[in-house]
Amino acid sequence: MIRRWRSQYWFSAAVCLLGSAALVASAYACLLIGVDFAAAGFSLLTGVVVISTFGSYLCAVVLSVVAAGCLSYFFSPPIFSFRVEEQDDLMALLAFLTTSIVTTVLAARIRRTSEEELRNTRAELARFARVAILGELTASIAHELNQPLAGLVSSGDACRRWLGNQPPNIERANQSLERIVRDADRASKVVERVRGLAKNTPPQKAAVSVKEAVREVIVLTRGELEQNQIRLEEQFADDLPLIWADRIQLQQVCLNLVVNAIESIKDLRGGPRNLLVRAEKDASDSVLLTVSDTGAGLDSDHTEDVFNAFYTTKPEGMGMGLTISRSIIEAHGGRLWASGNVPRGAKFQFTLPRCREGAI
Amino acid sequence: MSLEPPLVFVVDDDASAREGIEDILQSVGLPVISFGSAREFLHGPRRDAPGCIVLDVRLPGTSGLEFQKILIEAGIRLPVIFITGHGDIPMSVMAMKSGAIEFLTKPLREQSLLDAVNAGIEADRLRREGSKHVSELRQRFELLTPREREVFALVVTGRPNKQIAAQLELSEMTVKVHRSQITKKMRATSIVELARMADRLGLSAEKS
Repeated sequence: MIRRWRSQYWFSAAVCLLGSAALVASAYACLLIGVDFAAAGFSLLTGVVVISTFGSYLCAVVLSVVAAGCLSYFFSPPIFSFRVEEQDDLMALLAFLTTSIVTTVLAARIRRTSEEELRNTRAELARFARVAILGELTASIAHELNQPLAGLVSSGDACRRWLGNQPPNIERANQSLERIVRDADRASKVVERVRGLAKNTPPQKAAVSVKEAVREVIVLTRGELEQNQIRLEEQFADDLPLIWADRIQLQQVCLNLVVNAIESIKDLRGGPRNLLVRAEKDASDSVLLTVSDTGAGLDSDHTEDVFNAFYTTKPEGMGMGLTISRSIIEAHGGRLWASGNVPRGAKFQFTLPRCREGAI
Repeated sequence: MSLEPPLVFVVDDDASAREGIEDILQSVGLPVISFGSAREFLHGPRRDAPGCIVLDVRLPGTSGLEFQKILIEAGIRLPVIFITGHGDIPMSVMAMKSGAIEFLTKPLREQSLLDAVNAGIEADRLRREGSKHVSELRQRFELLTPREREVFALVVTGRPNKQIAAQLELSEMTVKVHRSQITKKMRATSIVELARMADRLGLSAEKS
């Protein structure tokens, strides 16, 4: 929670104000107890370092100055005045101020760097998982790319023949050309999607249509579905609100769930081979996405285990897919959970809050 | 005699691939009907004409290989040309074993597609002519009386009239009359031709 507030201006202001008040109060308390200059300086320094861990660089500087002020006001003679008469006291105050600023700024910088690194590592990990899924889908993607290319080559050949006829059939040749353009466009869209998923871009939230985003990536699994004789059903409600999300990460989660479902159906012998992807609006106006399959299913007592890192049932799996998916959904303010599908198989569901009007 | 116009069926679930094939076949003047799924084909219009099926191995619902079996069961004897995005060896072996005449990989080479389709149409034409001949023979065979059929069955085994007469307890003269009737009705010119017809009709197995 604090991490989210930290970037807000009001939070820094509050830390400065409350921190300053605390410093003044403790300096006054020290005076009442009868602590000397050095001990008071040490306790104020400790206070500044502790309080400024909540705030920004600016907080650190402001609090250091306030603490130095307190020290000068309460402890350097004449007391209850900011005037400093002794050269030694002035030096001591300056030393205090420098130490305080340097320490707090360094602490803030270390914290910021480690947070940035954590964020980068997470993004890297997510991207790594995305590329891993793409790797699993290579054959399927190749298939999806090969279809329009096959159409393109055939239409090209046909076009040449229409033009070579005596007399040339311009109308049919034009139709062939139109198909060539359409198929080339389709192929380039596939490439674009794959590139989007493989690209190394920081997460960027925007208003996203769940239907569009999900459909775009499900297409990439079509070859895999056909090869494994899996029947895919897609149900998208008409009244789906836009959601505020990083499109690529949303697609990653969907792809992950669909690929898992395919894996669980793949080696089944007998029984239905169905996969359902459904998106609807739930009671709290969020979008609820369900991916359910008639595959091997989950161990009913340990449905939560699948979200643990390194939990996997695949021989070549890393066991990170669902862990990453859950952290992505949670970072979007949603929830991802698993349950059993009736009469058989597994069901994964996640919610994503709708895009608020003002957010666009 | 002018040839019956052929008809080619294309079954592929992918619109781009399907329309491309359709276009190429039409550009050489072949009539084409195409379908997006196995089911559409089974319920779709069919014309009694020599032709072949260009079939995608991967179809949603029923795979191309299963579909080929369904066709055989349904008595649709059209030659099948398989096309696939990934020409994997086990699949093509299975396809060829179950009687496919060609296995092509996408994107298709124009000439190999046309060659395969023409070969398919030709094979179907020959098969149809063969079966037309048999049904004609069968019609002629239907004209024979039960007694004549008995004599026919014995004549084609190469037995002399005398033996046939003895076996059927007829006079040799009667056998001769039957024999000339049989030859006339079956429109055969020699005993050898009669024997061949019996073969086609599957009578040789019935000889006692």
